[in-house]
Amino acid sequence: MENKTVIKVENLRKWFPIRRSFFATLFSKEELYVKAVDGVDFEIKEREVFCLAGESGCGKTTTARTILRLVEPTDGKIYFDGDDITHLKTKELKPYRIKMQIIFQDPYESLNPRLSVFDIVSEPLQVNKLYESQRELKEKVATALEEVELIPPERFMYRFPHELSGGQRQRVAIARAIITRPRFIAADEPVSMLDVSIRAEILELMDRFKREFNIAYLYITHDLSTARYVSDRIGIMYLGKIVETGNIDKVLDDPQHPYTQALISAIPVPDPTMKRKRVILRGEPPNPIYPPPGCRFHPRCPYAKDVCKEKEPEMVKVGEEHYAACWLLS
Amino acid sequence: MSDDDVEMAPWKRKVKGFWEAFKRSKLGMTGLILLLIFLIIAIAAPIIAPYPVYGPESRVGIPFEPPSNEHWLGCDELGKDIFSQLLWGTRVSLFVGFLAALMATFIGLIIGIVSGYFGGVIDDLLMRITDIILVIPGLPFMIILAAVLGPSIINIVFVIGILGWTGTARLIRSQVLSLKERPFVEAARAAGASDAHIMFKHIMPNVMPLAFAQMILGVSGAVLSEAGLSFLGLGDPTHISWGMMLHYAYEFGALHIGAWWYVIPPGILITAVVVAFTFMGYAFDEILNPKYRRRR
Repeated sequence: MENKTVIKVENLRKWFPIRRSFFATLFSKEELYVKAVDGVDFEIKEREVFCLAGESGCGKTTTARTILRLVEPTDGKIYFDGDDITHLKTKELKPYRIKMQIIFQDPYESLNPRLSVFDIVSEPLQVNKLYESQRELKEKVATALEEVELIPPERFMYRFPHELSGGQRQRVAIARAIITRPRFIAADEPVSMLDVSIRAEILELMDRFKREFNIAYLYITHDLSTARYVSDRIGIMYLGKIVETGNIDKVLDDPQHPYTQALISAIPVPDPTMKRKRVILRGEPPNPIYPPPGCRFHPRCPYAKDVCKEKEPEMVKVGEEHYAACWLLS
Repeated sequence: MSDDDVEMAPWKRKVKGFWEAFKRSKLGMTGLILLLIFLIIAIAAPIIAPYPVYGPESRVGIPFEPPSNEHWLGCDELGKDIFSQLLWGTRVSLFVGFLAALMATFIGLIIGIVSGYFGGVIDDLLMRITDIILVIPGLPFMIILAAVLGPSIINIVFVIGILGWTGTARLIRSQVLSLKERPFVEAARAAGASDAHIMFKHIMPNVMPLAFAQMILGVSGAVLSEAGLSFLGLGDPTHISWGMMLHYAYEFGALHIGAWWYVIPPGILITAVVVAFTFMGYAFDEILNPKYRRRR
């Protein structure tokens, strides 16, 4: 049976206007934007994990926030279950909000310190009036807490976030995300703040919900080793654009784009005697207000040619379920 | 943490934690004890006052009679017992102080949250209004307002409250500016929460302690303002307050006569109430203001 596409993004752009002083606007008519997301396409099916990976500031998180309509997209289209939700108003968006959830990186920041676990987990039900009685609400919260293995739920329900460990907090955040039985969850570096020993448990938990509730995940990370562990497909992002995408094993085992190669060679290998080719990147990612012309990666690319400085490369097929955008490949 | 604590209702645990911290503050406890004494006096004034203070039967002594065994703090220009008046005056001072501070804090809280949360044009508009009220010289404006509205206790409360919210509004706004960027607000929005829900359920509880500390500090300012307005003769003449007593003492030349018993006691009591609330305010601020709070 073919899995349904849950999230589809076409040419998504999010440009943040820059606030400038009054005098600066007097003397120059040019509007400046931070091009955080600049033309991104992908789709995620049921029971599929799509990973967005890249350096800090490449637009991974903004992509997720834009899909969830937490920030307004500048251009492009977002489809949820085939419905265009790009420009829905707050009210029209409500039924979709229930089906799309987010898990944040820092469980210390994503839970309101003044609310109890019960208040936090029950909130999606409360604001959407998805319960008949207080009793039902309590039962649903207890079930959700059991599902994230905070057992017994009565012991955790009336605690406050500061009384829980990092892993427990992240479980609370996941309970809040799954209580409405969403079809799509954006997980923004959900384990990068956690102890290595807890990471696997949290990822396993997310994997279980994927299978049980047919969830489509957008998994955002800069850590390619956890990406391989959980994801089916991956998109490598650089400066607001996806430069290489495809099946996770194909992309990571046989990277085609020089940027992907550099990222992969930066993964530490726990074997000091192993010799390998390191691709060391020069410099910092360029300023996203003035992205370089042509291929965005050319100022740092070890293989840059003249054409890279002039024209932007198209995404080309480099193998089965494997695409990359680089002049070396076409 | 013991199991006992876990079983307690969340609000009970919050109050308990706050009380533990407050108990350790000598300043705060001094203020609290002073305040409790004043509260008892205010409530029990009709019982403990030795002489009546309202009506013709309140003229129980000789005008400007010095302190004696019958009249511990002497008598005023009409021969009314000053000690009894002081006890009754506690009521008005505390009532006006509390109510005016409550009103000012409430206005400041709402304006601060709305301004900080929505930002943009709403923020600009509300903050410019705040600026305007902030630069109006307080006392002259209060005098004009009180004179226009006429002398009554409720008007005094209104006049003090309507001018006293600016500091709270700015403090709360700056706190909201940082709160609204926290991921838990975004998580609530992703869950489908409305602006009103986010403001009242997520942001308000986080600024409430700060508002509370502001209110306690505000009471001392309000008590002083009430005394000032009453001293200038803009108070409610049908009620006795400490400021009102000072007003009559000045009017009838108590100082020239050397009737210190008419001037000094109300002054000391005003100072004592202001000190009590300021001490408590500092202690609250130290516990609740995130700027000073040690990380748990």
